[in-house]
Amino acid sequence: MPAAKNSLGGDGRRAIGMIETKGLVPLAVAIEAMVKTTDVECVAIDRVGDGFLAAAVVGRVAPVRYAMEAGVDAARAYGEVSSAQVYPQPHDVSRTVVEGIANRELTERTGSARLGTGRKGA
Amino acid sequence: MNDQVYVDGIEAVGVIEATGFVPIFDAVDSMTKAAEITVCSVNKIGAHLVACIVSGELAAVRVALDVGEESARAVGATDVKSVVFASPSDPIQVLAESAPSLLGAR
Repeated sequence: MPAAKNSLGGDGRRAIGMIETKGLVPLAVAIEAMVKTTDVECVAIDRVGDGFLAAAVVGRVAPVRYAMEAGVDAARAYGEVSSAQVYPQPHDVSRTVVEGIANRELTERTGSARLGTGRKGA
Repeated sequence: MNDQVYVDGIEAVGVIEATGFVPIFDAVDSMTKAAEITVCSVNKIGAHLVACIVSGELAAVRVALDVGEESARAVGATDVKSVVFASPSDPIQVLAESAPSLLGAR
């Protein structure tokens, strides 16, 4: 099978979780909870506008789901969570959208090749 | 304290956020005076929200945020939020190091 054109989720097991909060404190709390609860990677942090900030995590479906639950619970204690959603099997177009907002600083730090080539362990 | 553990990383990270620039400016002023912390960035994130990220030793960050919150409230901010990350994960460290480029308007 040829390597997926879109590198995010190239190994076919990549789910995406997105969370949006009002303010940086709840978002930071959510990110911390998400990456420490299960095996997910934060690939994007972005400013949406009007005080809303969004973060995206990738991983396998179950870890992403648990991570999002933990992230939402933690963030609610600190502020407003405007939305949170898990995409178990995102379409290629959706992956491209997330790649578009992915931050190089984040993906480089985790040493992840998942956003780079899509090859596992590369 | 074992210095070698934290050669590359940041020890503790704190985030303080309030509505309006003046409360955060006041918080930054008192935080830097109260404890030995580094102000990583001050970010205007829209809807009058301003967030400040600081780093340093855990105790220093804790004291700084307490003081910062107090002085931000003294200037009139009612919605001051703050959080301390004692052992920040990679994304939080990246956020501390490069928040302006992550959160900057595009």
